Amino acid sequence: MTTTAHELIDAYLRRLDAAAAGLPPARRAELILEIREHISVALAESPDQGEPDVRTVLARLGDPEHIAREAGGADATAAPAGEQLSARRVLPGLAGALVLALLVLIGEVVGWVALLIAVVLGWTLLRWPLRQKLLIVVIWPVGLGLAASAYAGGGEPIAPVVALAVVVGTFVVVHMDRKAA
Amino acid sequence: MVPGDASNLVTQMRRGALPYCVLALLRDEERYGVELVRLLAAVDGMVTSEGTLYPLLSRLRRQGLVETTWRESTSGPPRRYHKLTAEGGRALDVFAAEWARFRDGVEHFVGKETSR
Repeated sequence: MTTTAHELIDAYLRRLDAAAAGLPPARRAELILEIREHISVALAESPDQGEPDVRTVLARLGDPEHIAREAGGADATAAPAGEQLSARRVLPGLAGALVLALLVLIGEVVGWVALLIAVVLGWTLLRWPLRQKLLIVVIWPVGLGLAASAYAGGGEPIAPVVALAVVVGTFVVVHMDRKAA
Repeated sequence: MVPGDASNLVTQMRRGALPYCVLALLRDEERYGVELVRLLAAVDGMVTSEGTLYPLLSRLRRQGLVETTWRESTSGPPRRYHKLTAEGGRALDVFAAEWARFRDGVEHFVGKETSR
């Protein structure tokens, strides 16, 4: 291969590497490797591995930016699916409010049963990642349990505030967790 | 509906069907990347550029529908051969059956216009 042919290939792979900067490192490396393999195999099968052949192989591969977009695109479209389900995002809040109402109005035993149901429903219905679901299972029982015991101890004004903080807190933590992810 | 919707839809349908075309190419035979890419590109309207096939192959591997093995070649570098897994075979069978129903259904209505 001529120097120009090498330069053309290097320039192409550099463009691809830059365009794929948004991919996870392992996937980015894999993509570069596979395109590099494609180029060497395609050239080995070309009549004379010269500069015109290199240009043809690269042209048929297409824009590096296009390839990188394809590599990121399929996963990027999968993520927002959960975001669109706004009803499902409101659900934890509604369930929390229901539990709070039952705890305060009816009594502890019914409240605990409602809490259990809310956690099970939340676990099965919400399309959240496992880590975020674990937050529900930890935060709701602990927080609402605290609220319930505060209520039982006669601290009535505190109980609803704690329960509300738990429900709001769940949203804030999950939201921040999502932004970080 | 505007005319642009139709070409957009065709793009989406192609994107959806392409993985199964790759699986179908591997049904009876193991093939290496360049070979797969050339076979797909040879059919009009299937791929816009050869390079976009590699992200697709990577996805099929991660989904466990395809697996790869390296093989030496008599000419040039070793090739990474792709092979259908048992799960890939099942996914292809399911799609093939659904696709036949879908194609016949659409053809039943849309095909009438062109056959006149």
